[in-house]
Amino acid sequence: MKRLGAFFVLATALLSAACIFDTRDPNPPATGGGGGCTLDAPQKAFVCMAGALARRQDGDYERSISENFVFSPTTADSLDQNFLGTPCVYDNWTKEVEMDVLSLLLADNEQVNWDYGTPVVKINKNTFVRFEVTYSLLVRSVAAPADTTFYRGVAEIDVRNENGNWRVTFWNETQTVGNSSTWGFLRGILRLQRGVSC
Amino acid sequence: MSLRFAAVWAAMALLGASGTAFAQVAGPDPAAAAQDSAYAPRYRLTPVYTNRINADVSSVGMSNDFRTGFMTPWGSIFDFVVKGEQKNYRLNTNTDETKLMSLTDLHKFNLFWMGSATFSDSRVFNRSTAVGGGFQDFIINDQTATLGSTYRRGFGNLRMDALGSGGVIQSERTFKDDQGIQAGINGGVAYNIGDRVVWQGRAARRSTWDQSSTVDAQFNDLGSDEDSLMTGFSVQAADSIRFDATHKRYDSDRTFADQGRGSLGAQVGGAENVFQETEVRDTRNTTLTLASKIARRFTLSLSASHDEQVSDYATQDTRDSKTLGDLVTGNITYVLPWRTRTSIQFENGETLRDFGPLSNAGLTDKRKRVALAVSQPFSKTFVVDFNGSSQLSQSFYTKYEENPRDRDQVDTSLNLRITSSPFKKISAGIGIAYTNSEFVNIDSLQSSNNRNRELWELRPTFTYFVRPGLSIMQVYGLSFEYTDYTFDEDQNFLDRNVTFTNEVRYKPTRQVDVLFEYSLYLHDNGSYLPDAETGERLYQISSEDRRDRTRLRVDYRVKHKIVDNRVQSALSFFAENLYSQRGEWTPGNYDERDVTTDGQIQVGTTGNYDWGGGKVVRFTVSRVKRFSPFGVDAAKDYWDARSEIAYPF
Repeated sequence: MKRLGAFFVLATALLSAACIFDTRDPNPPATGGGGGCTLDAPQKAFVCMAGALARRQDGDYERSISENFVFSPTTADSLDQNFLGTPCVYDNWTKEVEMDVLSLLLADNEQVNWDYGTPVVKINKNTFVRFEVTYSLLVRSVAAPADTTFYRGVAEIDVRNENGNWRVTFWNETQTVGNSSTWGFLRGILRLQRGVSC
Repeated sequence: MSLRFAAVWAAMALLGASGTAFAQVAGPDPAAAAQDSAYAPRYRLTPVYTNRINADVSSVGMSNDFRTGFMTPWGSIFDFVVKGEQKNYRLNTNTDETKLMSLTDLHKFNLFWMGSATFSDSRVFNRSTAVGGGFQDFIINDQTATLGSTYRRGFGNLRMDALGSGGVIQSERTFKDDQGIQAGINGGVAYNIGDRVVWQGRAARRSTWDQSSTVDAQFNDLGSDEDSLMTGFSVQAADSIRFDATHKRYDSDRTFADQGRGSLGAQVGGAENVFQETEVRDTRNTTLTLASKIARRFTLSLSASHDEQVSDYATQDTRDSKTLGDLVTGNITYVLPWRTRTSIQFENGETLRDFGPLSNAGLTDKRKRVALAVSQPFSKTFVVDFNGSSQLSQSFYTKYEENPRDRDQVDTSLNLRITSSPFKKISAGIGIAYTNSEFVNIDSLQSSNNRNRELWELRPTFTYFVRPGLSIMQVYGLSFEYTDYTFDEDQNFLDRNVTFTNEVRYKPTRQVDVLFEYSLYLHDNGSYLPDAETGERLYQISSEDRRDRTRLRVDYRVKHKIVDNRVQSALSFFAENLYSQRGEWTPGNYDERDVTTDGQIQVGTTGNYDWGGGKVVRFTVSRVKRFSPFGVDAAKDYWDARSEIAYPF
C-alpha cells in the first residue's frame, strides 16, 4: 500500500505541476470564429497546408504534419556554400524545427503561395501514400523594396493515416526545377537565420 | 556522403570544440588516425574488398570499397582507399554517383611527433530529368592534398597536444570552379591541480585563400579566417560532487561566391548570377554544470548555460541574425526504500532572436518544462511505469504592431504502462496515454486558429504461450482524438478508433516457423454540432471506415550452424502474403461504400556466412509482386535485395 500511495502522490504532483502553466488571455477573432481543415483524404493535407500558407496562419499547417515529421533536402542543397559553416543545418529536421522555420517564413513575408500542382501517386498502400509533387512557392518579403522569389522543386511526400487523419510524415526533396532554388534551400536558410549549433 | 563526413571529421579536429567544417578539407584526420587502433603498425599487406547492394521499391544501389594498408620500408603506415557508389531510382529517372580515392601516409617520427600526407580525389554526381525534358546535373569534383603534423606530450600533471595542417584543393561545381589553399593549427593543454581540479584549454585558427571562376567572371580574394577558443575546469569537490565550467568562443569571417536569388538573381540561378558574399559568424557559450550523488539512492544534476550567436552578411543582409539564449535544466533521481525509481526533470529557458532592422520577425521565446518518471516493480512479474511531462512555450514578438503573432502553447503528456505475467504461460500489459496541446494566439488576427487537441489511448496486450512452439498475442486499441476550436463552438473534430490485432506464431517443426496475423481497424469521424430541432449539441458522424488486414509468413531454415558462439552459416527461405481491404462510407450508406484492396506476395531467401577473419557474405533476396488500385507499375513488380560481401585478402 505504501508503494501504491507514493506512486499516486508523485503522479498527482505532476498533474498539479501541469496546472501551474497558464497561458495569456487571447483576443477574440476579428472576423469571427473559424479555422480547421479536415484531413479525411491523402491529398487534403496539401490543401490544408496551402490554405494555411495563403492565409499566413500556421494552424492548419501544424495539423497537417505528423508529430514524427522528417524533412530531407536534395544533395545539392545539403552541400550548398551557404551551409558550409553549419553542416548540421538539415540534421534532425523534426516537426518542431519545421514549425519554427515556418513561423519565420510567415512573419517576414507578406505573401506566401504554394502551388503543389497535380501530385502523382507513386505508392498507395491504403493507409500510406507516397506522392511525387512538382511545386512552386511564391514568397514576397515584407522588407522594402518588396522582393519576390519563386522557389521550385520536385519532392516525394509521404502521407500516412494517423488515427483517421491523413498527415505528412516525410518530405524528401529529390530534384530542382530549372535553375530555381528549392523550398528545401529556403528552409535551410531560415533555420540558419534562427540559429543552429553544430 | 562519406567524403563530406571525412571533411567534417578533419576540420573538427582542427578547430577543436568549435566543431566547424569546410568541404574544402578532405581526407582522414591524422590526430584521430593516430589514436585509431586500426592504424596500429602492420607488417603485411592487408587489402579488404567490400561490396554492398541495396534494392527496394524506390531505388537500386551498389557500393564497392577496396582498401589496404601496409608498412612502408621507411616505417610509415600507408593506407589506400578507393570506393564507388551508384544509386538508380526506380520511380523516377534520377541517378546518384559518388567516387572516392584517397592515399594517406602516416609516419611516426618519435614517441611524441607524427606526420601525415594525404591525397584524395572525389566525385559527387546527381542526374535527374528536368521538368519539361532534358537532363539536369549536379556535380562536385574535388581534388585535395594535405600535409599534417601532430605533437602530443605529457609533463607530469601537464598534458599538451598540437595539430597543424596545410593543403590545397581544386573543386569543380555545376556553375563554378574553386581553387583554394588552407592552413590551420589546433592545440590544447590540460593541467591537473592536485587530485581534484583539472583545467583545460584549446585554441584553433584556420585560414583559407580561395578563388572562384564561372563562365562569365572570376572572383579573387575569397577565403576565410576562423578562430576558436575553449577553456574550462572541473572540480571534484568531494567524492560525490563534481562541478564543471566551460567557456567557448568561435569567430569566422568568410568570403565566398554565392548564387543570386530573388531580385539579386532575377528568380533563376546561373553562372551570370554568381556574386561575392561575406559572412561573419560569432558564437559564445558559457556552461556551468553540477553533478552530485547526495546519497546512495539520490542524485542531482544541474546545468546553466548562456549562448550567443551572431551572423552578418555584407550583401544579403536580410539574413542577418542575433540569438541570445539562457537555459537552466535540472534532473533529480531518487530510489525510494521500497524500490520505486523516480526521476524529475525541469527546464527553464529564454531566447532572444533579432533578425535585424529589415525584419519584423524578431521575438523572444520562453519555455518551461517539467517531467516526471516513476517506475515501481511490485514483484518480479508485475511492474508499473508512469511518465508525464508538461511544457509551456511562449513567443513575444518585438515589433508586435507590425507583426502581431504572439502565441502560447501548452503541451501535456501522461503515460501509464502496467506489465504483468500473472501465470507462467500468460503475460499481459496495458498502456494508457493522454496528450493535450493547447494553442493560443493572442491577437485577433490569428486567434481564429486557437484550438485544443486531446488524444486518449488505451492499449491492452495479452500473450498466451500455449506450448513450446505455439503462442498467441492479442493487441487491442481504443483511441479518441478531439480538436476543438476555442472561438467557434461548431468547429471541432472527433476521431474514434478501435483496433484489434491477433497474431499466432507456430513452429510445427524445428526448421519451420509460421506466422499468421489478422488486424481490424474501425474508425469514424464527426463533430459535435447543434441539433437542427432541439439545439442540443450532439455528436454527428460524417464518415466511417473499416480496414481488415492479414499477414501470412512461412520461414524454412535449411541450415543454421553456430561455431564458437558465432553464426557461421545460415540459409533460409521465406514466403509472405499481405492483404488489406479498406471500406469507407457515410452513415447509413454502408452498402454503397467505396472499397479498395491492396496486397503483395514476397518470396525470397536469406543467407549469412561468416568464415572468420572478416570474410563475410550476407544476403536477403526476394521477389515482390503487389497489387493496388494506384501506383506506378515499377512499384508493383520488383526485386528487393540487400547484400554484403567482405573479403580480406
